[in-house]
Amino acid sequence: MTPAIYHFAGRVREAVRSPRLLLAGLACGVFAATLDARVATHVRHPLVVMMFGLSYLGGLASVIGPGASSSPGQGRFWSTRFVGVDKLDWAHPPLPLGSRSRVLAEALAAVVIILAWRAILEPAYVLALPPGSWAGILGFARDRWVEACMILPCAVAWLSPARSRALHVVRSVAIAPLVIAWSLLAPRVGIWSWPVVALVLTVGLLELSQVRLRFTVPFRGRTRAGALVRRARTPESQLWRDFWSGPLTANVLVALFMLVALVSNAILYSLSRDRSFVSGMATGAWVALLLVPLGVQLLGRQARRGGTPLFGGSFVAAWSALPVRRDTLLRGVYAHGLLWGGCLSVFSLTFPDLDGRWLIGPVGLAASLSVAGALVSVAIGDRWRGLLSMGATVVSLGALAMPAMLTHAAPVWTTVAPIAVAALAGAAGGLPPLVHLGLRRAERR
Amino acid sequence: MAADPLVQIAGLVVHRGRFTLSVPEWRVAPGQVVGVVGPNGAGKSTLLESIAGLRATDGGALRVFGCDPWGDPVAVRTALGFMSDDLPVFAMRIDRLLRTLSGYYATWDAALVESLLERFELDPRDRVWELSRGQGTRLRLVTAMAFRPRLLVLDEPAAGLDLAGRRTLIESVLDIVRDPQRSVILSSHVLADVERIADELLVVHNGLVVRAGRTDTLIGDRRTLEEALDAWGAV
Repeated sequence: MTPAIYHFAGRVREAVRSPRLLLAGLACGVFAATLDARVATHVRHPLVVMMFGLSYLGGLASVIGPGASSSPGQGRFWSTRFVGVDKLDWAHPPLPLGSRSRVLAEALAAVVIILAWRAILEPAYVLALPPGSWAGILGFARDRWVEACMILPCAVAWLSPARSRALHVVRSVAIAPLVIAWSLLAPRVGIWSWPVVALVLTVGLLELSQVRLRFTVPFRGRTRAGALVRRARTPESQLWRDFWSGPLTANVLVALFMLVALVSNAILYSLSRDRSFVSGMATGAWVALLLVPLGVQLLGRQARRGGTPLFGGSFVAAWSALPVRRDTLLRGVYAHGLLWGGCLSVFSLTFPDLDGRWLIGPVGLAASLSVAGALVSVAIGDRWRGLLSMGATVVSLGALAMPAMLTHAAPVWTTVAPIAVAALAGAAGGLPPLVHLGLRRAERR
Repeated sequence: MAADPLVQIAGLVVHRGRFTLSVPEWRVAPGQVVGVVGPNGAGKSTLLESIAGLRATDGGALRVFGCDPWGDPVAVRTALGFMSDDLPVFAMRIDRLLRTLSGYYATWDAALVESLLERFELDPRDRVWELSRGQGTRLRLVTAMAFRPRLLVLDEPAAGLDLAGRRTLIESVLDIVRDPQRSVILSSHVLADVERIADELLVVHNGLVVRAGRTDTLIGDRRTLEEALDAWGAV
């Protein structure tokens, strides 16, 4: 991560220090600002905004992308980027930086430069707002944020090397309809769907791109002993760290984003009472979903020969050689499951158009019991209890959908009965796996 | 005065389905390489897993460093390295995996890890799920040895290893037992390797101990371990 930040900072510094880059950026910014001034009061169509984004991208990708750095005696990467992926080896010196991180850092640098120029060249936009209007300033900031989210996947598509010119062109062009569709649909969902979609598109592009190249540098000297070690603690505190604080610190940017998103959304809601608050909550919940289970690599993240079947018990087996008590481990898994289920409940609460949604939260907490039970069963490899918990989760969610679909005029029992079913199913699925939390019998491997 | 044994077994009984492992009495002293040999299904892995605290026992006494490995896994596994060729490992890059594991051991030796990575020709930037079987075995060996455990328990460490890997394994095991306080227990079907490095042997068959004692005494000068196992009916 640190080399990627250095690389990003270096690219920005390079752009700032180079007169050529500054001139190009200035031209691009003036062009965009002029266009924006013309259409700002008349056309706020996402397509127009997207065209701005593409124009920035076209202007700036050439000046701060990989093409800006030439390798002495070997020509410019720019002219050979379509020839073959092997060229990336010399185009990018063997920095201690993965090609994926490098592409992302380049794209972020492009976005930062673009937005910096916008912020510099559009003070009139802000000054035109009514004095003291926080909402207007927030709106300006929000627009810039949306632009950043829009430009990022485009920049990634543009900067990623491809095996052929055709593939590169296809990928760069194919991202445009996606961004357009997203631009049109996003206003219906809320402003905070933008970063989510941007994240999905960016990650998808990075996965599809040929950025998993390996440099042909010999092994020796590529690692330091210090890089392979971290400060030892007692196994219990280390487990606590890896399960809870570790994922948070490892994903600190995501956590900060979630925090900023939620706080900003609360402010926006207090100012405008629009639905962006709701979608912001949804975004936060989903980010939490992504953050915690993936951070701890709870499921499907163990490698063993012959693959990892769902009820193979690989999670516990992978920890089995470590000085960690199994029941402590499983309690952590159960707590993660509860948290996960709780996040699902919060997310369910954010459906704005469902009449019975206030019921979803409390009953969803009951369903989270079965989610936690299913996680424990999967972690330890208990097929039957796991299937029971999963079935209970499905029943709970199915029962939850019923009151949500009812109107206020429906009889009380039609609401109470599904709630009772959901709560009972949640408990039925969540309680049996509890026997594992203090278990002392032969471990299944 | 003899040093306290690292492993002490008396009347051990372990059930695994319909299979029963029974070990009347057995000790592992410090500074030894102990080979556990026997045919498939003899109970080697069951015994080693019990010693590592991965499997509960059903009778008798099993003490590792004076502790019950199942009841007090933290105390035992802090100083016991266990490796099995089918033990899952976290699916991440090797360097990140090693860094993650290092936090659990106060005795983690980063310099040793680096030298083991070179010795076993592992690239720390490789992803675990992309390793071949032999590379996976090498990685498991590295993780088991990295914290300089007092007792190293290796279950089929040579599985999937090529000749160079087996040589490196043997060198590493011999390095470990240069320290008189540390021991290695290994089970393997590569009998030539076991015969070459094991000071003591435990021969098991159908869950029963067939022979136990010093390797040279058990085998004798005029036959190989394979021939001896043939003679004992433990093949």
